[in-house]
Amino acid sequence: MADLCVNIGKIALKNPLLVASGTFGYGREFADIYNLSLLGGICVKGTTLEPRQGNQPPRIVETSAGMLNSVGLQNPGVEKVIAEEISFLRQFDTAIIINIAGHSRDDYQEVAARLEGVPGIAALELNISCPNVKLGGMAFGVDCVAASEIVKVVRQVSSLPLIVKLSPNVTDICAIAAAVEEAGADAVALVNTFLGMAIDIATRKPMLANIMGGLSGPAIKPIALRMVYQVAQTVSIPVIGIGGICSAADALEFMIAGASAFEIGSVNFHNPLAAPQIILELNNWLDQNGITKITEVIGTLKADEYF
Amino acid sequence: MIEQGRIVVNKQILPCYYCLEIFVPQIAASAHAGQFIMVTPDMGLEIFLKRPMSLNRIDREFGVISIIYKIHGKGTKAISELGEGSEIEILGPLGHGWRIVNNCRRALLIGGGSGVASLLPLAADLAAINTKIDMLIGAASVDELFCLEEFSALADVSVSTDDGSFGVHGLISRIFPDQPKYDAVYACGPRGMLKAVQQWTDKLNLPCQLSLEEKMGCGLGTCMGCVCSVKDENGDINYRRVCHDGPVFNSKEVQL
Ligand SMILES: Cc1cc2nc3c(=O)[nH]c(=O)nc-3n(C[C@H](O)[C@H](O)[C@H](O)COP(=O)(O)OP(=O)(O)OC[C@H]3O[C@@H](n4cnc5c(N)ncnc54)[C@H](O)[C@@H]3O)c2cc1C
Ligand SMILES: Cc1cc2nc3c(=O)[nH]c(=O)nc-3n(C[C@H](O)[C@H](O)[C@H](O)COP(=O)(O)O)c2cc1C
Repeated sequence: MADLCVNIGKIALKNPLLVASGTFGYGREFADIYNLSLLGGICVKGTTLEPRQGNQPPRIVETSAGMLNSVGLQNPGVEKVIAEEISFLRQFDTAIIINIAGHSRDDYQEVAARLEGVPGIAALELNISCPNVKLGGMAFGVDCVAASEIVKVVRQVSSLPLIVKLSPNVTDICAIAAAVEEAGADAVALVNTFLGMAIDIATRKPMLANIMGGLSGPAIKPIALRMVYQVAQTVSIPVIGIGGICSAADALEFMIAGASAFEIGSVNFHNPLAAPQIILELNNWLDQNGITKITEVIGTLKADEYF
Repeated sequence: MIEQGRIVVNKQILPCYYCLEIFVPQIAASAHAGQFIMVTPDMGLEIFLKRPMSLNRIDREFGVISIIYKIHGKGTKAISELGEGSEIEILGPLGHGWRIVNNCRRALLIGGGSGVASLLPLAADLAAINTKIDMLIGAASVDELFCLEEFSALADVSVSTDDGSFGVHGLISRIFPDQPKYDAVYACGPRGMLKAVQQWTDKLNLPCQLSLEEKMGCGLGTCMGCVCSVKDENGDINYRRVCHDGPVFNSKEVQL
């Protein structure tokens, strides 16, 4: 039995597996399938100040080895999340991370202020990268100045560790990562979905009512991994790797590339038992390789071996 | 729940329809008419999402459920290639199925295309409480007509086909009864058919339940992918999850 504990700055996780925002709701449905206390942590669905209806359906389309979604942050609003969902999640021995989004800087700040002092929250994950709503965050996540301002205003009202979730829909993700680090982020998580689309050739209609949506799943893994590697080289705060992870081997690639922890998203739909299976597989892999602590794997890429 | 099932039967029953019977005793024990399962066509990653399929038969005694499916694209094609005796992962039973109304003396069941499948266990439940059942089946052609014998044993069945190869020639609305006196109408089928049923039952003020289809991510209610518009008590329109709040909705509430 290897030691799977990792730290994301001040956040201590029992293992490096987090479930990604928007793919796990508030845990209720999965709590019927396995014990959520097995998880390193849970990033809840993107939470906004007011309730949001989200985008018009259809919102989901399968693509090769992945999927597009244009859900658009449908959620009951922060007050209901505090009253009904966080109180539910508190019963589990796992890190509860609240993913927040907004239309404006003030929105982010207000949501963070309402969450301040609510018991049972391990960290905030600032979603400045949702591609599915106008000003749903991505506008902030593609601009260094706007991204740092979000971090600064949230920092003013929140004592929680701040994880900034980055958009891959940028020219230089390292510049954004460096900007949010400078602004006081405790960690960065990447990536959110890649903006994409699909067309029904018979009707010539877009497959999503929103026309465009976010691509996730194994299809994005190599690009996500490359970005995690680059960002880990750039910042000194912890990096959380996300994008297409479906197995312990995938997760280990991200950790070797420099991620201190990782999130699994769409694979929860492909295989609802993915999380407990990956944790078990990780442990077996470490045991088989005689590694006693998973932290020994982080950032161990032998990039120079070919020279 | 997730259950590793065993395929008992997977056979072609019509040119484009297949029947899949799976031994999943736990799921069979808790399943109800109108619910669905998520079928994993392939444990590989290329076909990434599970496929929603309505329960066509629930045999609690033998622990077997069956679905009737049409080959539509790569997922259903892959399902059709699964061998009898092989293992298959099933997530279910999912969603809220048909509601049997109190004192249901007469019921009308309307099924179009593959939507006919989910009405069979309902007909069985209604017949068990001695409801008199009228059943309308709409199909593209005689080649797409299934479960006719099973329904005929439980209900008074009328059929329409788009090409006139069986029953009345034309859309199913042509065989909507003239003097409908029903305690409940239940319909499952393509969107266009559901709209026709909704207009007709609205006009006659008949209580009606509709079973909807929408593209699904998880089937569990977490991803918020498969929503439809539903009017609440205050007249506000909200998005509800087809997989979790449905697939069966009150026709008065759902906006098609
Ligand atoms: C609650 C429910 C019950 C259903 N019951 C039956 C049934 O009993 N028999 C049957 O033949 N079909 C049924 N369907 C439709 C069936 O799920 C689709 O035909 C099937 O998913 C198509 O998959 P594919 O890979 O062959 O097609 P593709 O077009 O390659 O599928 C691509 C994606 O679109 C989704 N998709 C395509 N068509 C539909 C659809 N009509 N509804 C929902 N998702 C769709 C697929 O699941 C997949 O994610 C049901 C759908 C729902 C929502
Ligand atoms: C249906 C769906 C909804 C999502 N909703 C959110 C969200 O509300 N907030 C967020 O930060 N990311 C959201 N994401 C992005 C995921 O958290 C994750 O970053 C992305 O899917 C890539 O990981 P994956 O390839 O493992 O799925 C969503 C993804 C999916 C598929």
